[in-house]
Amino acid sequence: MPTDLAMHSVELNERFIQKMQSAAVDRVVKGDPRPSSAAVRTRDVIVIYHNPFQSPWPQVYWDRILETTGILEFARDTRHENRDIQSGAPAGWRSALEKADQTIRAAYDNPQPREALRTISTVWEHLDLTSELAAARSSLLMGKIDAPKLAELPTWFRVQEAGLLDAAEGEIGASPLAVETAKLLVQAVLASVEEGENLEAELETGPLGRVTIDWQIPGVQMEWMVEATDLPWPSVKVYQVHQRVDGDDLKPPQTHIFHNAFDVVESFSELLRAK
Amino acid sequence: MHQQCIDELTPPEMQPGETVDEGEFFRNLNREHVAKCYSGDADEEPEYGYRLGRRQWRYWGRQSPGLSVSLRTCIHSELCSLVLHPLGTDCYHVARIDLGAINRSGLLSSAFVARYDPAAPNLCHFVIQPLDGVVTKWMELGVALNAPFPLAKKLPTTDEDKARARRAYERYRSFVKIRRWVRRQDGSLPST
Repeated sequence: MPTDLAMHSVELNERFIQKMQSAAVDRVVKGDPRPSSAAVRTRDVIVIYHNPFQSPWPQVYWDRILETTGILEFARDTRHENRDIQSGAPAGWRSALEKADQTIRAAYDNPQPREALRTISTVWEHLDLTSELAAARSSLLMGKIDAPKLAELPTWFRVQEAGLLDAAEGEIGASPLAVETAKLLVQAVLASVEEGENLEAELETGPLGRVTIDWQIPGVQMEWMVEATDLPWPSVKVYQVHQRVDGDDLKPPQTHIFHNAFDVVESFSELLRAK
Repeated sequence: MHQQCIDELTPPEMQPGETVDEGEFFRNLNREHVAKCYSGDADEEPEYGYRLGRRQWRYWGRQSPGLSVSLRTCIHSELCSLVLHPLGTDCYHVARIDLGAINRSGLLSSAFVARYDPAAPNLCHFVIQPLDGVVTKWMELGVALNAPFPLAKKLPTTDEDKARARRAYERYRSFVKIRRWVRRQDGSLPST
């Protein structure tokens, strides 16, 4: 189905268009008769196929993500690229981390497991130090911004909260810090949604004292896993997995790890707007 | 029964620690590990079947780094899977997990593997683990497998939704098939 990029509110800048164009020329989708492909992000990753010989750029064709094309990795990379552009991160910063990934993967293939572990440990330690740096600077920056507004705590949270702290047999209950963070996050996202939007979630104790929040949103599966953090609100650590479930044509879940409440609220609002 | 199961094992030609990314595996389940796809469905013979509860996919961080399973072509039967499990008396149902089908589904950003972890007397024992992550990958798997049942609290009412639910269940069964009450409800095991 031919369509036009503008119809889908795609925010493109020159660098992203260049990337798409070069991808269209360079990347041939395996097993697909069309000569080239490219990907673009709207609210989700959507793979599009572009035939430069038949239609002028940016006339595109939408298609579903095919497991055999190997396009998922490309779509992920392109999504990251577009996120960088939107967030203002300088181009190229990701390549250093990609090298770290490659080093870990290569080490895993080393026939000497102990040697491989040493290599991975070295890389991991550097990554942890980078993570510490990010946490410290984020914390300082958050001191310059008002914390997200909070709505009243919903009844469904109150009702389920008590059960979180109780440990099931052979397990541990939720960490009070994780429960407190989960509570603030729920209040923050509810403050950001339109009045009348009736949102609920199921709460459960997750592994190692985390709290899982399974949002009940029509057409979307969304789960958070909230854990206690070293730094106070609005620092958080939230694993988010969401997947659209309209129709039979399922797309892979998308994963994010958030470290501040602002990003959680923003992502949540985007998801609701797009549903 | 215990000895017969041991005698009939056909362990894979693998070294401990080696991994595979396909194959069918048995996972022993206790009563709470199985949920109806639609909670409002009939208790006996629900029209839209059963699935694994999400907590099944939240096993990291405990003593095992992943999901403890037995290779079907090695242990041969659901019954032996229960019999050779150290805590098998707590388990009543068995899930058959098709790792290859899950990995080929296109719903995961990276593969899960099964690591050979023979634990005498069960020389068919493996541990399913994500290859490229921990927390996020288990969450992704849980969400991906639950995806066919987006409004699982409400039974489908329209013909279209009913057809979708049936297709979803068939799809789910291409990844996971659950055999309930391999151990009888009174705790005994069938003789064959």
